[in-house]
Amino acid sequence: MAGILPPEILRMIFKLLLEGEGDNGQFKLAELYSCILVNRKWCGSAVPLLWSKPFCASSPSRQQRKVIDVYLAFLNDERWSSLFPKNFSRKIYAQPKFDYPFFASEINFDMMAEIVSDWCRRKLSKEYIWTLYEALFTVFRDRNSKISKVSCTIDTLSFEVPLIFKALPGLKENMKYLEIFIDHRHSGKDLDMRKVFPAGVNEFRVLKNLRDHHIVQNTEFIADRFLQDGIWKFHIEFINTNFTTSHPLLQNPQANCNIESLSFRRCTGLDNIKVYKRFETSFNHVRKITIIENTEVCMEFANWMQKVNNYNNIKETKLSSNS
Amino acid sequence: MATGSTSTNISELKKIKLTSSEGTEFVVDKDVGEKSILLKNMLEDVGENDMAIPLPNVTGPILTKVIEYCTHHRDDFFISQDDDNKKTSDDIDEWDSEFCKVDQGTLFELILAANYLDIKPLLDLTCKTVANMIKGKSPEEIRKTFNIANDFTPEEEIQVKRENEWCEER
Repeated sequence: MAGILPPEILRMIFKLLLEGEGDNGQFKLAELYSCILVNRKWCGSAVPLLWSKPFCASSPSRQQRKVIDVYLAFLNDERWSSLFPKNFSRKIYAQPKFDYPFFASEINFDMMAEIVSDWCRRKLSKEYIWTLYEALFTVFRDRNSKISKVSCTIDTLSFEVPLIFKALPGLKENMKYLEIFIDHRHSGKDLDMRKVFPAGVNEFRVLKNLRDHHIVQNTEFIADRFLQDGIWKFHIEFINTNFTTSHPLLQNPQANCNIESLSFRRCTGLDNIKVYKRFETSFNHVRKITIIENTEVCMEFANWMQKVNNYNNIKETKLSSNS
Repeated sequence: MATGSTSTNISELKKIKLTSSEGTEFVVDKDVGEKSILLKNMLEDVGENDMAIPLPNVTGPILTKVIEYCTHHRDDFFISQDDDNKKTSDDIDEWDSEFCKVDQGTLFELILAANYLDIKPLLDLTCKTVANMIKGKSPEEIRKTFNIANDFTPEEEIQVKRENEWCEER
């Protein structure tokens, strides 16, 4: 009877298996692994989803290293022998059943870095880390992967991520989000955005997760770096932020002109009318405001939200119907 | 507020006719029918009309269930989920959970009807119910639950296992 469900419905169901409470991503992947082994139809529907975020485990493991082995099977012989030692074999995954690299859409760069380093340490030596990156990006490029989201911490953003852009010139056409996680340890002051992003790449939407109010000043500094170019569009998601009128992002409306949308998760202070007034003047270019989770707002803030969202919806509807 | 409630009352009085795949006619309140985006768009395009809307992909018993769902949720705002709002398969309320206690055939037909009629909350609910039936099961248990035949060749099955076993660890 389940045979009547078309692949797009199966994909919807499988997606639900990956979502939900808890951080145990590996457990959820195991649920999907069971689906892959049911029959051909289920396999064909679940594999693209499983390989859409290939580096997602909470820690590198023997199993996770196999992702790399599978990807390396897509490297042509000539490239393989130019990169790796002659006595280093890759027989196991000679002809993969699916075009796995093609399905990659999101890369958690920090996790990828850990798995790459672990793979090299155990199979060859640490000297091969950059070789392996090169091999993997060659595979992504050759298989026409449509990577649209890269997430990373400031650590990798400033150092390793530029290599992605260099290795994957097609990335800029497909990329919608660069998700940067910022935590207390990093000031971001050594970050030079001009080095991070090659010239000509100017249409990324930057998703910044502000984990709490302590790091806002650092984030503001990073935002300034982006703003110097004047071409970046931001989405800012505030998480656990307590807003007061002295919040750094509420001080200089000019500095926020590239911020396209705002969202709030478990934030406080937005029920204060003075804070709302600061918001309205500081974010007068914003096109979308969303409350994602547990954030109380005052009536004035709610009206402003509605006005901004409705205005832009109408505008976009008119634009799309005209086009 | 007065204006809002008046317009709701007027809307509630309006009826629309639907015809199931067997030709059975159903008369439903317009606001209930408009929970289906497909019907809502059709009604907007066609305007005021007494003609029954044919639904050749939906049988009478399934349409009855769909109408039951939309009637129960007639006052709910059906907001489209933002990608950022993670959906989960655990957050099913009691009425919805009872509603989905049907045989598998009906459940799958409901999924197809919700997809065809574009009723996202019903589609989410029915897909979540199936996802919950999959959770924690081995491939063999899933096959048994849904009466699915394993059409892999032994070699093919080994290959799929080997290439995807990186996600096997629980």
